[in-house]
Amino acid sequence: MRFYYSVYLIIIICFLTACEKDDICSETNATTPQLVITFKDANNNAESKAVESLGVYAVKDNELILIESINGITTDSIAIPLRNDINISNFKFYKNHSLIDGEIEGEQNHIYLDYSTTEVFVSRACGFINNYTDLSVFTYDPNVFGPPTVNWISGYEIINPIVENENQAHVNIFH
Amino acid sequence: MLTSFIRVLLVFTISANVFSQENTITSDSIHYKQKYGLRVGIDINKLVNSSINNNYNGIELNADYRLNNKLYIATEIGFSKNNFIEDYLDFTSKGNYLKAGIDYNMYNNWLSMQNMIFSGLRLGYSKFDQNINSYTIYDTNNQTWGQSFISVPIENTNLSSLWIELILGVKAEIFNNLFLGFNLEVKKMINSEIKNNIQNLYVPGFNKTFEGSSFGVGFGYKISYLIPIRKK
Repeated sequence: MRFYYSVYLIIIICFLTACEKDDICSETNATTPQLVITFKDANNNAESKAVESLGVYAVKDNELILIESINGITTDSIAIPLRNDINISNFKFYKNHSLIDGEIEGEQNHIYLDYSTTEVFVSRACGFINNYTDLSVFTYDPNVFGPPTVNWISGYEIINPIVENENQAHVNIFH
Repeated sequence: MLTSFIRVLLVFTISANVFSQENTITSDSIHYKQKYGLRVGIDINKLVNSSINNNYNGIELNADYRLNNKLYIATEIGFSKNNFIEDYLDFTSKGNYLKAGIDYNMYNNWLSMQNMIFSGLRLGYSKFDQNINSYTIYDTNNQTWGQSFISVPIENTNLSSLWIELILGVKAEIFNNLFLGFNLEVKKMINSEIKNNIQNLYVPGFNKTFEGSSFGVGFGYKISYLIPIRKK
């Protein structure tokens, strides 16, 4: 009988000391999706066309913030984060981008994105992520007075106005 | 650390009391009368926790009534208010709960003693609010725009949950009619109403819920007093 009591006690002690599970939001969890853009040929909209040395800057409070993974790469698709505190994101897309003594060199094109955000509950550890709907795109800055200035980007096409995952492109940009 | 030490100490004192009566004499010809009555008590762990933990406030009262030699009907009624501060989430769960069911004494007492090693079954019901006080949008790509912290609360009121509970515990009479007990609870959620697609993270009485699982755990340290009604 004493044996069974010992087992019982051990179970109790294990329960008391070990049953608090730590909640950590791991990398495998769903995160707020980025907007996926693919670049296509302006003359043949079905054909992918890479942008030479693309550098993308986020514009926040008149300040340019370089997206670290898009710092002069030649690519035909990118994923960019959307701003969560307001429903508008402004970007400058630089073609033939280079940084010389802190000065940005290259051909720029403004990208203005407008959307609605929906908070989606994930878990205790991760809390909420954002999903985006009703996406609209301007290839110029609509806040600048006067006729829109479009540079190297000749057009766009919204493939999917709902940004819930990064598995497929949401916007095609023609150049 | 201190609280868990006290817990372990408590367990030992309880067990020492119960387990010291191992050499049961089964062939006793004299019939010792057993007390029957209403036993009422309070959970001391929740009481202590409420006074030392700023994020917790709770109380649980319990009562049982002996039906026969082995069987008791038992109930717990409680209130709890918990505030949890997680990495991306700050929320409060607040509400009342009621558990009702039976306790079955598996221990053969010696003479007129009335200690218990028991297993119990309960049906639990809780009515509660779960409010998200503030949260940070989880975004692994926030290096560009910065983190987005939202302090507009999301209030989910009048939620309810129903669960069943298996209990394993001990109860020892430390003084005349005064009992000290410890028990473990394993719970299985039957139905939990959610609002705004937000999982119920903590249900009063059921305790913490686990992702992808309907099980929960809990324990109680109870002090209770037997009001004897009759002897037989």
